[in-house]
Amino acid sequence: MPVMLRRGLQREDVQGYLFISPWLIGVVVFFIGPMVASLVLSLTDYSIIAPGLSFLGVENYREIALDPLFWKSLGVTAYYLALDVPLGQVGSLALALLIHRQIRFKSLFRTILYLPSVTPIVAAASIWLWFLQPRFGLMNGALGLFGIDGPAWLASREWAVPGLALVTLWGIGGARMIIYLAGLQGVPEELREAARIDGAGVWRVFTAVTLPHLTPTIFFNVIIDIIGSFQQFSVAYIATDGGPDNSTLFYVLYLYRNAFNYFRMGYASALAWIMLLLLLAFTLVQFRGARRWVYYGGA
Amino acid sequence: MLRNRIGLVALAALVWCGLVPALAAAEKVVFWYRIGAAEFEWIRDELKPRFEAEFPDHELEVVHLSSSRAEADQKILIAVATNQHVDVVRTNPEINLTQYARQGTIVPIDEYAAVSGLDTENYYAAAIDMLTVDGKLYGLPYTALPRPVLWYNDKFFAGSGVAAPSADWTTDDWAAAARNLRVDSDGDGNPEVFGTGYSMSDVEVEMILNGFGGGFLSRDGTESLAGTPESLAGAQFIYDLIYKDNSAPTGDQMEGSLHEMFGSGRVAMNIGNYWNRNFYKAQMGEDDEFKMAPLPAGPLGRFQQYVAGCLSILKSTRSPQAAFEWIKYFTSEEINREYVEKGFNIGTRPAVNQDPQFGDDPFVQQFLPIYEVRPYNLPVWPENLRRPQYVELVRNAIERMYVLGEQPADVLPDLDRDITRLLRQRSL
Repeated sequence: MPVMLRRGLQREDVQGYLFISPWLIGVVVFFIGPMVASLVLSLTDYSIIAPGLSFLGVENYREIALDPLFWKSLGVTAYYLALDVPLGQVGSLALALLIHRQIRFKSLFRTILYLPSVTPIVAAASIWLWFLQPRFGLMNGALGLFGIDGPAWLASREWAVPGLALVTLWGIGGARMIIYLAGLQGVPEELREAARIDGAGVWRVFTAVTLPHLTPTIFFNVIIDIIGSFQQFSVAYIATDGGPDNSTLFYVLYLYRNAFNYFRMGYASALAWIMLLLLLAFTLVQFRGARRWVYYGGA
Repeated sequence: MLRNRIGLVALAALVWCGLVPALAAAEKVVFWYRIGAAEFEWIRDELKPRFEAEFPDHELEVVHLSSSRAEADQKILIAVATNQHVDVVRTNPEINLTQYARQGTIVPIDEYAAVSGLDTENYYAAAIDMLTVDGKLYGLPYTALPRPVLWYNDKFFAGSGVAAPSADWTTDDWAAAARNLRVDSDGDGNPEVFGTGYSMSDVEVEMILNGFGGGFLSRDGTESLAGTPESLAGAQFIYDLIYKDNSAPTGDQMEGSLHEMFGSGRVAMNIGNYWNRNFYKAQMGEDDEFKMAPLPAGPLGRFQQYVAGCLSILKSTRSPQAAFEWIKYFTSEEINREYVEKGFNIGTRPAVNQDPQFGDDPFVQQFLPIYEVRPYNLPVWPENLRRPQYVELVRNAIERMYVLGEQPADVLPDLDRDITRLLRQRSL
């Protein structure tokens, strides 16, 4: 039995609870409460605008299973995730390695690389719309210099998702890079030094010493990145609004449309719960797999 | 004793301080408007002070909603659901007024109209009819007009031997003129001038399909027409303008929007609306270069949709009487004349549109004969239709055909299936 229960609630216990009560109330009111409400709503036809609601049981979930746009949005999100996560991780790690070196103007480079990630997404997406314009855009202009006839990017079903991935990859110098930088600073310099004395080259030092020590950081970044990519919304909402032909209909964009364009709050709540379960399953699988490749020092 | 007296005096002072401002405060009218920036600025900077001077006990708060119709609808419905203080909103009878009226989102204004002695005879009768749902009047119009029209740039017709569009044009005349006006001097398949633009709007494409005897939805709104041979013929007509004749730009040949291409002289004709005039004027500068004609008639005749912009009182109003005063003021003859004069749109009263004051305005003069072209296509939205989803489906199909170049014969059966599925689903 916990000590506190054995001896009864003391004055300082009450004070402690009082101190954390703003946080507790916040969690219950703004987090647990809405979650429970959305679970209940997912079993109804609640629409905000129509008076009353009817209990539907699992009807919304059954409709989702038969909804072609649900599967389409899931496919689009998976495709984006497959492009964005590996490229984003490799890119931000490469930048972190560059910045980690002892070079002049290191702080300046770090600031410049970080800048895109603090640019408002609306501004970034609007600029990239012009970069990726098929006829006059800088991207196809640059490709044209090498004799490559560039694609229609955001106006093409095949290239719209890679185009949006480019927009978000522009910000690889952001939080991911900073976390990698912090991870790199935790790699023991004496181990690298020892490897070099033993005759290991740059690549060998990286793969045999740096990378294993970075695996907890990689693991953290990958988990966060997968969740973030699955929740991608703003870029598609601003740049393509899901088009052309739903080729950029991300899962969260479809959820948003159901909730706030079609006012199908019950259906959108069911979509949200499916997303939560998918992410939970994905994350658990990764934690299971992590035992094989993540190295936590002497553990 | 003294303490009690001081307390009483303090209490009286507090009550006085609270009551006097409350009694003296002007009644606030919160007006949510969804329209272009120029129109909004005119209301905020010019009309608001004049209205407040005329009604000193009213204070007008003008809020610019998003220019996106879907976003504006979203905000209005959420305002009602949360009982937010909003008195007057813009509604469109061809889009949301009937639905809003039946949901109770907006309130009838007959009572206020009767008390104020408003004479609805001064408005176009068709516009008033459109605002009447189940025998009750749900707003007053400030603009009412048929859409769409065929805009054309006169400089491409002058000296080309191609006759300019007229009221008796058919879709065949339109296609032939577009082919003749196309200019591809270096023959690289990428014309310098395209003969015509087209429309990506669900409403306007449907008007063309109606001319071929087709459409997306039946007139009573109970079944899909997207899969009929007539709809296919209409959709194929536009597709051929783009991908067979290349007299209209393909998705890859687009440089900005079709309106921008027309405004910059890359397209000789374009499907648009009266309200595009200020945009074109800003791009071209010269009034006499671009003109308008009625939408060409299809094999089964000409169809145009009658649309209106109007103001209604929202359910969450705090002051319906003050809200009505603002609506009456905004749709009054004087303000409506000013509205037309500024070129925002066509008026809603015959007395305004036919005013000799507009005798020199080429746009008003061109539009009045178009106003008389009938029949108008008044849309019927069935109550069981999830309209925003329906519009999304139709727009997606239009994009597949005209931007991505998929054959209408491949796209329309999918659309037919999707609309039919939607019509069978529960209503909201």
